[in-house]
Amino acid sequence: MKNNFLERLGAWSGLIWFMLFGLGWVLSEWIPPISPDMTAVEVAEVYKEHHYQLLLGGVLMMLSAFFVGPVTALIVLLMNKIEKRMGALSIVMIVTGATSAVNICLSGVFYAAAAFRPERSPEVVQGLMDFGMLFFFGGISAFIGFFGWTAYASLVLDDRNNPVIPRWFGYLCLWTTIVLIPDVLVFFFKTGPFAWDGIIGFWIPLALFIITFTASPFALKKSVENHL
Amino acid sequence: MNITNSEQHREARIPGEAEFWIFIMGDLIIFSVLFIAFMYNRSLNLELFNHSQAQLNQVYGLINTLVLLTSSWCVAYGLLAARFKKTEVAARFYRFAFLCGLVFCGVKFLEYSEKIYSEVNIVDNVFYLYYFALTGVHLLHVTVGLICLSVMIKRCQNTKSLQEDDIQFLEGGGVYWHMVDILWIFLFFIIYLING
Repeated sequence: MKNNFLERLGAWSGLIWFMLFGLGWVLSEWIPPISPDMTAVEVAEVYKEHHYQLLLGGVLMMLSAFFVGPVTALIVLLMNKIEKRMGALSIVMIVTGATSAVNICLSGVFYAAAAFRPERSPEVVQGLMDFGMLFFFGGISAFIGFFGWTAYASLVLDDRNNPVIPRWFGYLCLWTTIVLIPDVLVFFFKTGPFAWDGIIGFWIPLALFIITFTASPFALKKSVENHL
Repeated sequence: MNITNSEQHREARIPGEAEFWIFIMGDLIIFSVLFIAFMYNRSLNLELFNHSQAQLNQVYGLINTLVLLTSSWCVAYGLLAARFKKTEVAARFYRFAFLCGLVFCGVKFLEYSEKIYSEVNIVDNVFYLYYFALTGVHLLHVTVGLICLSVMIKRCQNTKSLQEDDIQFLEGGGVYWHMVDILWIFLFFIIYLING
C-alpha cells in the first residue's frame, strides 16, 4: 500500500487549521472581536489586562498557518485530476494557498506584536491590532480565491457523473465565496453590520466558516479514497 | 452513489441539481438573519427608521420590483421554451431577463448616487447602514445572477439540441434568479414600505 499520509492529512488539515486558529481567537476572547469603534486608550487597556492571553492567542493563530499547506496540496492534486494535467487552475491554486498561509500567519504575527510590549503607547497597540484585523477580515483576495477556485474546479470543470470533488462541497465553497466578498467593507466602517464585529463582517462569515470547515474533511476524505 | 444524477432527479423531480439547493437554502438563511437584524434594529430605533424611510424614493423600489418580476417571468418562459427544444426563443427570453437585470443595477446605482450626493446624513444612521447592507448584498447576488444568465444564454446559443445537463443548468439558474427576485420583494417590503 502506498503511503498517502499527507493526502489524508490534507483532508483534515482545513479543519485543523480552523480549530487552531479558532482556539487562538477564543483565547483572545474575540467573539465578537474588540470593536473597531473603541478608542486607542480603551484598546490598550484591554491589551494590558489580557496581555498573555492575547499574546498566546496571536501566536496560536500564527502557528495555525502551518496547516494551510497540506489542504492546499490536496486540492491542487484534485485539480490536477480534474484538469488531467498540471494546468493553469492548479498553478493558480498553489499561489492562492501560499498567499492564504501568509495572510493567516501575518495577521497572527500582528496580533502578537500588538501584545508584545504592553507598556508602549496606546496608538501603536491599536495600530498593530488594526493591521491584524484588517489583514484577516479585509485581506480577502486570497481567501475568496481559495473557496472560489475550488468551487470553479468542482462546479465548472469537474465531471458531473463521476466528480472528483463532491458537488455539494463545490456549492458550499461557492456560497462561502459570495458571503466573504462584502467583508472587504470592513475598511470603510467602524460600526454597524459591515464593521469587523458586525453581522456581515463577523457573524455570518463565522457561521459559514464553521459549516464549511467542519464539512471539508468529509468531502475531501472521499475524494482521497476514490481518486488519488 | 452508482445511480446517475439524472435518474435521481427524474424520480425526485427537483428542479436543478439536488446539491444546488444547499446553496439556495444557505443563502435564504443568511438573508433571513439579515432581515431579522434589520427588524431588531428597527424596533430599537423606530422613529429614526420611519423618518429615514420617508426619504427613500419608493418609485425606484417599485420600478425595480416590476423589472425583476418581468425578468423572472422571462426566465420561467425561457425554460419552458428550452424544454420544447426552441433554443432560439429561450435565448431571446434569457436575453431579455438579462437586460432587466441590467436595468435593475442601473436604477440601483442611480438611487445610491442620489443618496450619497444628497444633503441627507447617511453616515451615522443605522437605517441607511442596513439599507446599504441589505440592498448591497442583494445587488451582489444580482451580479452573480447576471453572470449565470449570460452562461445560460450561451448554452442556448451553442447547441441546437439541449442535453439533460443543459436543462438542469437552466433550471438551476432559473431557481437562483427567482430567489433573487423573491428576496428583493421582501427587501422592498421591509425597507421601503413597512411603516409604523
